Amino acid sequence: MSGSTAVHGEYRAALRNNRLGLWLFFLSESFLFIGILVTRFYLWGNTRPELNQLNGLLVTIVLLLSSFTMNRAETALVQNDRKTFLNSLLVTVVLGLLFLAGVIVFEWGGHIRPSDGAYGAVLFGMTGMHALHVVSGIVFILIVWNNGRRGLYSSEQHWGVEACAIWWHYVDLVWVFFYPALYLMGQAIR
Amino acid sequence: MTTSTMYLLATAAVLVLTVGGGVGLAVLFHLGSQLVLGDGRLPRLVPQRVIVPTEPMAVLRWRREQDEERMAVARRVAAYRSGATVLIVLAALTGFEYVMNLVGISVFGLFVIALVKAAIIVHYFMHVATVFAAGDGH
Amino acid sequence: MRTFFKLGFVRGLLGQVLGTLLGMGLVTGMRAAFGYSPLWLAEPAWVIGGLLGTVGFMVGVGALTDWAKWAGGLATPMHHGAPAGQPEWTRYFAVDLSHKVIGVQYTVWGIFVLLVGGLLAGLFRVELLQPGMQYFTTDRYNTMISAHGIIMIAAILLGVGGMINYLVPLMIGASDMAFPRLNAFGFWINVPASLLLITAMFVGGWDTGWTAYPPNSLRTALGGPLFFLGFYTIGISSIVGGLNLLVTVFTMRPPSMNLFRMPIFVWAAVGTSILQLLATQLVGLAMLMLIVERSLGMGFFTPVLNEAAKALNSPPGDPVLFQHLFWFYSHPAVYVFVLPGLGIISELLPVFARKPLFGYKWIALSSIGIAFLGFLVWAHHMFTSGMSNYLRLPFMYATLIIAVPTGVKFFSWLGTLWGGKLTYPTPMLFVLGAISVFLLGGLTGPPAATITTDLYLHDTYWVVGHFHQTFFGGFMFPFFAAMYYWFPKVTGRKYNEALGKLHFWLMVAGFWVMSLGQIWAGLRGMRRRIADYDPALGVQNIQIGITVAAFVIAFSILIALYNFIVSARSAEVAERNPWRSRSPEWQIPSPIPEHSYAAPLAVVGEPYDYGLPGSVYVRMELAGAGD
Repeated sequence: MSGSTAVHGEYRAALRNNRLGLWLFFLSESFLFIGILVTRFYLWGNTRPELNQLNGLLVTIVLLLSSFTMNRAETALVQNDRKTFLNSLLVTVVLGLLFLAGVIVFEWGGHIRPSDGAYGAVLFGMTGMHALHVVSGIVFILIVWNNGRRGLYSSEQHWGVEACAIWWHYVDLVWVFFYPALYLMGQAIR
Repeated sequence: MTTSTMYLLATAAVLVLTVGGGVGLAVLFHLGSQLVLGDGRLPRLVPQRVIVPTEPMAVLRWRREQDEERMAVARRVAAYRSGATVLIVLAALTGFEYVMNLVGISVFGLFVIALVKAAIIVHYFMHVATVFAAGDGH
Repeated sequence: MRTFFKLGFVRGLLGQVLGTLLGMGLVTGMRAAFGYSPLWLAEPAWVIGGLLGTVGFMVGVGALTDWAKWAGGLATPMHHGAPAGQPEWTRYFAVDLSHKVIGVQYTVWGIFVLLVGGLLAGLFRVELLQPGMQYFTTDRYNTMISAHGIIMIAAILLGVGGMINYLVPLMIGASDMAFPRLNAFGFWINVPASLLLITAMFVGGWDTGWTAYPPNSLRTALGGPLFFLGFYTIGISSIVGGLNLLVTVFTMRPPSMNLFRMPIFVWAAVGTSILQLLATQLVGLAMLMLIVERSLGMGFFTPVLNEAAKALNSPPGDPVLFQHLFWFYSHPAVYVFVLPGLGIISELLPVFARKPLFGYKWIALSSIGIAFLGFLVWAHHMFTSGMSNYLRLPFMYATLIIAVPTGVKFFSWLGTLWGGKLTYPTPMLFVLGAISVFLLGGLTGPPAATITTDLYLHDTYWVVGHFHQTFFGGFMFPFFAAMYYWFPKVTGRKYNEALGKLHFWLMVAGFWVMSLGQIWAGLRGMRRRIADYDPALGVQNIQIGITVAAFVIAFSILIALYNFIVSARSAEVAERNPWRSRSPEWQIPSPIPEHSYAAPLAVVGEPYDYGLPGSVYVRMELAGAGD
């Protein structure tokens, strides 16, 4: 009995460290993304290139939906609803892939190339760095899904799921700022 | 075919379409809202038969179980519902910023909206408060 | 021989070679698949090769093994001690999770990298003995000064990492760092990074200095991208190291140790870690932008537009943007280097003065103050860059304000020394040397921070003199003080006091001559980063003095290494607490057992109440010992 209490205490201490560590990493990553936003405003000023507005809105909504399904997966695990948990993770992966498709196929396939002055550089820099994080999130979700399928998480002990979920929300959070910075702010220049 | 017959048929069609469509939409909406807002399971269309005990102690126990189950369901529903509410608010804010940009809004205004969205995500989706809790619960 | 090939280090090196070849093959293979010619394009091949080589090293050394197991759902219990069936010394050449081993690994690798950087300095100092080019081409010279800069910065970061990793968990009574595997990762990633930097010198070199300003860095030889990649990789180590330390300090102190009862070095480490965690991302971003601009043509920093960009009405890139991003890290980086050193000074002074530390809270808060002010001063490196004029004044004032928290530290040190019962063993000498040298750096700083004078001093030897003073006063001298002071704790043996003192006197004399020479040459108009100078400038005698002094410093450091190596192998066994320190790590046996403390510490008093009768800092249970 005391053994399991000790394990539980250890788990709690580790959980506390892990949470603080992950949030400090978010803080650090925020400086990276703030640096990219600063670059955008430094180089683009109050202008932006003409981009496909519909595509921008659609990928934003898709990413928002994926954040919701991720939250749903975590909630389901806490409620001991394994089926919803696993399915929601898969839906999140699909939505994440849709987002990537929207960015890579439709945005990068548009009329702007990476080498086209500050417009090309910043557009591809912002979406590329964000897409890199989306890819990392998708890999993370697949790992968690695989481990979840094998029953490694319980409603009490599931730091892996929690980390994966807030990492995914963080990727969405970055897009919350990148979407207006890319598509809405400033004067569209043709 | 006389004109009055055509009127009759047209009225019937409109009625069928509106009522049927309305009912259909209502069912769809109900199912959808159960999926989104409910406890995550499709509702049973045919209610389960419930056998109510008659012996007094059993009745008490049955009622307590019923209450506990209802409470558990309520908690579960609340947990799922908060996620859906956040989704709806965030989607509305996204639409709002898109429309406001068409109308004309300053960069500062767009930043404020983004900050509000970020705060909502950090609080409701990322559970920032858990960092400051002493490592209990998820 | 089998032991040799089982060493993580050797496997890591093999992994790096294989990874590099794989990356080069990948690039060449893809070029073949898409039908490009020529098949071999050096730059993308080396960049991808360098990247995969780094990954290959980390896989080979085994720093990623436990995480891979986690991803596969396997448990990874903590392993203490040497790898199964291997002798004890192999721990230091493999991934080991103990912070004490990692601290030693950081320090030893740091000294190795320091020697490489020092060797480069020695070589190009010889070239400066007389006007005209005698031994090197200008390109070779530029590569060496650039490599000297970045390699020394890597060495300092490693030394800082060594001190922090070894000392902080011991000082706060924690069993280890919060994330031992991340800690090991943070050390080992430095090894491929250092090797990348060294490789960069041999594949064409680069002539930008360590600052890598575009547009020059966009046009420089193949060494450039490898240098960016190495710099970026060292940055990763900084970020994870800072993160790990902050979590350790915030969550793993014993409940009785509140923030203002932590040893003062821990405060300095926190200040350093905040800077490492947050600022490093910006320089990483800047390096990444240089890489993609070179390889994909993304015009962040090029003010010239191509036809397609003109058709889009795109604004151009801007080289000054790079300087903003770069200095946003690289100025705080200076405080990353010096804060732990200043912490060592504050830590050691009370021990050797047998007096309480004067103004503990002020010193503690001044470290944090320097860390936060450090974020607000970056553009004082850019007074001559052509940035907007209105930015100059605020940055000048912010820079001058840094003198306030630094001054707080100086007055606290003086207050601690005042009326103390001073003794002068080698660590104390190094502490006093550090104070004198850092004071010199503090005095030569304001003229460089003031716009009117900086317009003349910018890019002269004055600046070279100034930052060598701050690095020696803020890092080198305190680092050696720490090496001598904790040598008995780490090895359990005594170092040779006479050699230690000889090291000190040679180094301090050599440094003062070298540094004042640099200041003097700067005032006479000697530019930095120039391979040659006009004899009419009248600086040749000064340059000879600087070179001789630099060799004296190098010689003194070799004496120190001889001292450390010989003493660690065969010297007399040290007593448990030779300095009569109150700090908890001195109350346990030397060398420290695998599990440092048997039970959490109980802090019952102030940390620096030296000389106050009956005062106690910590109570503890000793592991296994009856005394």
